[in-house]
Amino acid sequence: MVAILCALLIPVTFLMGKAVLKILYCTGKREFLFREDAFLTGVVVLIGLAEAAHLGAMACGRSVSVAVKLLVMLTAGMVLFCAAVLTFCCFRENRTKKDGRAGGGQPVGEDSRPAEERTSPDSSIKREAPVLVCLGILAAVLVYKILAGASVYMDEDITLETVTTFLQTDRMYEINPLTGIPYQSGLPSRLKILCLPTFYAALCRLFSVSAQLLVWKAVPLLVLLGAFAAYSCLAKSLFPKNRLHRELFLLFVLLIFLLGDDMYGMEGFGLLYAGFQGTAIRSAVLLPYLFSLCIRKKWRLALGPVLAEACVVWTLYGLGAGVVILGIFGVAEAVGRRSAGRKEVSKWENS
Amino acid sequence: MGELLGKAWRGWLEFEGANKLTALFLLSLFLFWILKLGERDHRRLFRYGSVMGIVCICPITAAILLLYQTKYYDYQWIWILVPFTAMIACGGVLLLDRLWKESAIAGWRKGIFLAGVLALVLLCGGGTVSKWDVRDLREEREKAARTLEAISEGQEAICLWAPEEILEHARSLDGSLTLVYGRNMWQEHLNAFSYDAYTPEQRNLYVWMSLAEETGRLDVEVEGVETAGETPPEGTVIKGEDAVRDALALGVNRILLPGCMEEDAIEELERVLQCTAEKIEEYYLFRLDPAASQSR
Repeated sequence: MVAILCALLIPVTFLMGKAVLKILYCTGKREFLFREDAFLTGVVVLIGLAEAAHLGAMACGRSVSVAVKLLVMLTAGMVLFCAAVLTFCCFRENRTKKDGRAGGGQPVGEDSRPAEERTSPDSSIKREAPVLVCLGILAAVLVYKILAGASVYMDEDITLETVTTFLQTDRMYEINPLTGIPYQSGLPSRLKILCLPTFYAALCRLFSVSAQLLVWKAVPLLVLLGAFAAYSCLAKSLFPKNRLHRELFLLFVLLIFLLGDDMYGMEGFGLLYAGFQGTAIRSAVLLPYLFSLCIRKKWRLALGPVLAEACVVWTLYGLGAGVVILGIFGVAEAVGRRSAGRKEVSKWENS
Repeated sequence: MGELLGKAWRGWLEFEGANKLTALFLLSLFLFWILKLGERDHRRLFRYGSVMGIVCICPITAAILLLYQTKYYDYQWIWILVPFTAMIACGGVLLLDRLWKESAIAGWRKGIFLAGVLALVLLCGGGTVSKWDVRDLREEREKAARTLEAISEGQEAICLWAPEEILEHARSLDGSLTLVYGRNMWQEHLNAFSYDAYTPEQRNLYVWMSLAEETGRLDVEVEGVETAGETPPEGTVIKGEDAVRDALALGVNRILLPGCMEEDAIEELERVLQCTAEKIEEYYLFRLDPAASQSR
């Protein structure tokens, strides 16, 4: 069932992300948009749908069954809408091509590498082979550590108990997951708005998977995939012209994941021992993706990870790390543009 | 504010002491600026990372960030604002590129050089997670699952009082169980997830169970145990009979005691509870009838 879950979730996520990119960049610049962007935007959309289902169910009697129904309906609706958007765009692009007119840039989700790089000569394959082999080995070690390892950091987390309680009682946030006794004084509101436990419980119901298997194995595996996509995106943003550099970058990243498992808060630690936590999703997927978007100046897309962070992590009234990062990059960009403008003006005046 | 500043400074010392990757991060930062590596996009990343690195190290700005992240998170979490991994990786790639281009290293020597750099990175890994209590849970969860299965025989709703190692996994293994206290009794951080607090009776039960597991005696003297909230003062004697009566008053109908309990103690409890103890795994189990508990 876990395999079916992954096989279903990944294409659905990709489809939704691709359609959203088409909508956001239908007329604007589509350069520097990669396949990974489609997947990661899909992840953001999925988190948004899970949040909507969670809040909807909280408003309608706090029932997990209602949350499951809402999630299925919203996702199905979104998939249909995205399929329609993609079909329409495909039809329009074909027509544009037929008419012989130039399209609005390169199709979203397509590879934006220079043409000479797409067809890799034999020498570069030879050159990249050892790096690719090392990458494969490190990725396999990470996957093995998640699947075969039984080490989980439980000390500051109650996700598994919360999901088990949701499934057992069909009620959300009415029973204290640590004791099984109804809450007397309640719990903080900022905890109640987080969607991950409801999302996990809904997936357990839909795919008949045990909470432990889903939370401790399947989700960390998907988060690892997301982290790989996010860093791949960052690699393409930093080294758009050199594939070997991108592969080396990813090699270093995977090595740091493995080595950075010695401190709570590091990405490696989160991925290997607490991949199901919102903080792990934030630090390994959402923030690296946000950095790549800020470097590429894709400001519209950059709002996605910022909003997704507020749905999965306990923040200051929705203000998390993403807001700070986006704010600093935004201010730097504005200042840079202003000083560039001034230089232009003074140049013009001098001339 | 002083406390927050102290926390920020201690946090940095602990962070750079425990995490060798910090050295690698600072090295990549240093080399990037000294050797003028990279192009415009790399400079954007490193400029941001350098500023945020300084902000995270400087106690005043770090304290402001600690306030921003709701004071709930520890110091190391402010470092998520720094693209730590990306900067080390990017610095590594740019340095390799510069060395390959400007030195006589060519052909298979490049591979050996790369392997050397990767080995250097490997040596910077801590490789230990002992401080953060990550442990292999398989065995203890299997044991807890076996014990809980034996306890849960029958149809009635169960309210359990048991040693820490069982209660820690009880709710995640069986959502139908009710516990007299959860693991937030000894893992204080978890109390941030609820406004509920434990009563002194519940705290006494935890202290008694922890000490009974150590001493095997019925009456225990409080020593070296801490709970979330107010722990009974050191030297206080908690009587087993009183603890059991408190448990019954809290609705407990299954009491699981450690197997190391002295036989006299178990016999005494059998007399008080008017029920015979069963041996399950390495524990003594008392199955109590809720109706009969009124008369005890």
